[in-house]
This record gives sequence, structure tokens and C-alpha cells, in this order.
Amino acid sequence: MPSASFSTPVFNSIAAILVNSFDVAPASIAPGVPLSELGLDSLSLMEFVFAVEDAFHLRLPEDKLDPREAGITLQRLCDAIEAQIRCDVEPSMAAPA
Amino acid sequence: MRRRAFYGGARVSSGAAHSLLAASSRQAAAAPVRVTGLGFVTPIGHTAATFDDALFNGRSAVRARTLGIRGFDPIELAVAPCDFDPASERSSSRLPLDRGTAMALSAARDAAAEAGLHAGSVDPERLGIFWGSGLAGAGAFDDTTRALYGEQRRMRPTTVLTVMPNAAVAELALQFGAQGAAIAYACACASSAVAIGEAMRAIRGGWIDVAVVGGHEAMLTPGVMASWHAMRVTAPPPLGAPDSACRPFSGDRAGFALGEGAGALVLESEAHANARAHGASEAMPLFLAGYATNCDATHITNPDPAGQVRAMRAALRDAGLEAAQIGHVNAHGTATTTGDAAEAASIREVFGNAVPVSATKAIHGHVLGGGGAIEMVAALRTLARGMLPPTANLRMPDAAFDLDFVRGNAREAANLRYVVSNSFAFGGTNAVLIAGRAAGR
Repeated sequence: MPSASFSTPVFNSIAAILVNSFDVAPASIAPGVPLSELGLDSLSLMEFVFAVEDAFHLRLPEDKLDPREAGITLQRLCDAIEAQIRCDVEPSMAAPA
Repeated sequence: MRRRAFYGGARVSSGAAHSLLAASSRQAAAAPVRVTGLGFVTPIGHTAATFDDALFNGRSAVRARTLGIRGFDPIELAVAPCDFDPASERSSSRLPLDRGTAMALSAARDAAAEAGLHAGSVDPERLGIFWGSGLAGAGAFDDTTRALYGEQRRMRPTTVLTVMPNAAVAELALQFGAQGAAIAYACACASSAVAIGEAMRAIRGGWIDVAVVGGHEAMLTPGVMASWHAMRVTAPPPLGAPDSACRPFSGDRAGFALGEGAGALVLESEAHANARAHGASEAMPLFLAGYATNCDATHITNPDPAGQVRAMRAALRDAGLEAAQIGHVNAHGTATTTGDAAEAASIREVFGNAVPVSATKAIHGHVLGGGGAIEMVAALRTLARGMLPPTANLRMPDAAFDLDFVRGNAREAANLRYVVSNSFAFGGTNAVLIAGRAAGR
């Protein structure tokens, strides 16, 4: 699994999804790794985002997180998840769905 | 670059030679094709021990299920579900699996293991996948559209790939590295019987040496169950005895129970099977002897006994057998009023009233596109055990049917050599397979 310094609950959860459902090697998972370098094709990357949404019971705004876009890292995915969780907790601050 | 074939014998390699072989096979009984592996996921079990226990004791897996759809009265249905977790299967494509595709992968893996089939034992270009399903990814599509319309969730990007009719075929081809053929057959309740038969023809014709064949269906989902219920062909579950819902050939038959599952066989040419050690099947060779398919072309649902008669006689000719050489008929036997009457008449015309007849849908339900494969598994277990399964729930056969129904207890048949398995479909497609076992057991 990833090193302890990366072990936020959100990061650990998405790392577990990558390992258990998409056969990604644990050693290749780190916050700075772009999604495009996980060895998944474009369909699998989108399914990965769906799996993340299911796991956290939320929906990530497509305009902020297209997994095919170069340079989006696992850390940025974590940030998007945490931002969405905050929106769900504070609905008055949420962007229109 | 072409990889080396497993066996070094005479491989038919030119198109001209293929054509000659195919032409000659149409003129006389063609060579039998060996069955070297069996695998299955069924409502009555996933192993030979559990399957046989239910099959030869007439133990039904049919149970009652209440279908509740918002805005409609609850519907009581008789269904035969499998004890199966699709999460236990992983796809080679890494895409999510429809429940039926997961069953297909599980059954095919078990068949391949029994056959001793593994990477390197077969030339990939001589290995084919022939698979049948009526509704293929019905479960995945039902789930996806429910999420779309009911929960306003966006479509999964892999929806098309999980619901397409050849979804299972594609995953199986990836799993086995099959480069010879990967063909999906969809002809309703005859789908997997046709898939098996067409694979047999491909092997006989010299196009391939080995095939992973069979079919599946997994449609115990709200939309599909409601669709079948609307056709008024499903049996209501009797209060207190839901396992007796499906009563083929009975005077009080009331329709079928929807089932689910997958059945898989490994087929091989005799030469290929003999050229390698291939596991358990060597002890008691089983084979496919004959196959025929045709179409009634008379009505979209009403079966035509004349078409069924033509199909059974064509299968006998294909196998080079007389009707009297058939020791058992595993009937299509859906337990519908019209369907059983047509089949009772057609079997009577072809075989007279001396051949024993069983209908196993009473215990594993109607698995639709996968039914032909699961019933071929039952036919092969019948041959392997030398024992005829009873038709469960058949206490009082319809007085109009003049046939020898196996009912009550299983019947010993030590000298059994050939078994017929019928599959008759909506749309008029008929498929008849004849399986056999080697003499001198």
C-alpha cells in the first residue's frame, strides 16, 4: 500500500479501489501520479471515477474532473472528493448540480 | 506469425480442403466431436455432485419471489436463482461484469479446467468461442436505465460493452486468448443449443480444433421479470410449495419458472483430444454425435410440431442414427399448455412411445438462452451416470400425451448410448443436439 505519509482516509480509499478493482500495482500509486499514468485505458479511467463516486456516495462535477485530461493527479482527485464532501455537508455553498 | 499447433498431425489448412470437408459432412453422418470438459453455474448447483443430487432426485430449486415495482401491485413469481456472487469473477478487460457474463466466465473456467485446457495446450488460432444468450446483458441494462430514469444518474461509459449481445463472448475470448472465432448466437431459448451445434460443425469442418461453447442468461431483474409475467407464460408459485410451480407435461401445468445460470462445454476434434492428455473425461469419453437446426416459420410464438419433427429427424441423420438407438430425450418441456402439447406430439411422431422422456426445467427453471447448454450438461450427466432423471412435479401426465415419461424416481439405464436434447425457441428456431458415450464402459 502507499506510504503512511499519504494515508488520508480519502486517499487510502481510492488506492484500495485501484488495487482491488482495477489491478493497479500498489507501488505505482502515489498522490503525485497522474491518472493517465496508472496503466488504465480511457474507459477504465472513467469507470474508476464512477467507482469512486459510488464509494463516497457523491457525484464529481464533470467540468472539474475529466480523467482523460492530462495532468490530473490522484491528489487532485482527493481534493475534488473532499471539496464535494464539504459541499454536501454545507449545501448552501454547493455549486449548482 | 502463426503459433505452432499443439498436435503435429494432419492439420487442414487450406480453404479448399475446408470446403471439401464441410461438403462431405453434409452428405453422410459426420464425425463425432469429443466433449472434454464441463462447467456450470445453475440453480441446482455448480459442481457435478450438487447438480447430480438435484437432477437424479428431482429436487427443485424453484422458489417464490415477490416483484415490487413502484406504482404497480406486487407480483408473485416462481423463480430459480443461482447462489452466485458476480464479484467473485474478474474480467480480463477490467470492465464491470454483467451478472450473466460473470456466470459465463465461471462456467467456462471450470469446463476448461476439467478439460486441462491452458495456455500453450491449443493453437490460439484454432480455438473458438461459440456462446448463446437470449437477452445477454439484460441485468446490466435494467440497472443502468433504472439509475438513469429513476435516479437521474449519468450513464456509465462502459454500458454498451456490458450489455451488448457478445459481451460474454468478448470476455471469454480475452480470457482464453481465442483467436479462431468468437461468435454470439441469439435465437431466444435455442441460443446456446445453436451455439454448441455450430461449434460442432466448425470443428467437423476443420475450421478449428477446440471450442469453448455454451450459453448463459441472468434476467431475474425487475424489468425482465415483469416482461415475462406480462406474456402470461410464467407459473404462479403454489402457496406453501413454490418448488412445484413448474410441472412439465402435467395435466395441470401452468407455465415455467424463470431461471438463471450458465453452462459451458469444451469441444474438441477426436484427433486433438487423442493427441493430448486432457483430464477426467478420458476415463469415459463423451461426445456430440449430431445436431440440426431449422425454423418453423409459421408463428412468432406458437410452436409447430412439423418443424420440430423435421429438426429431430435431421439431427438423427446428422448422427447417422435410427430413432430406436436413442435411449432418452431431454425435452424442451417448458410446461406451457401449447409448448408441451406440440413437443409431446413431435416426440411421439419421431420416436414412438417407447423412448423415455424427461424435462429438467421443473428443477432448474427456464434459463432461456442458457437453457440449451444447461440441459446439455444434464444430458451428459445422464450419459455419464447411466441413469435417467425424473421430471419433477409430474404426478399426473396430460392424458393426451402418449409418451414414456420418467417420473417419481430416476431410472437405471446402464446401456444408455445416445441422448437427444431439444431446444425450441420463440421466433420458431428449433435446435436438436444428440450426445453419446463410448461403448464398452
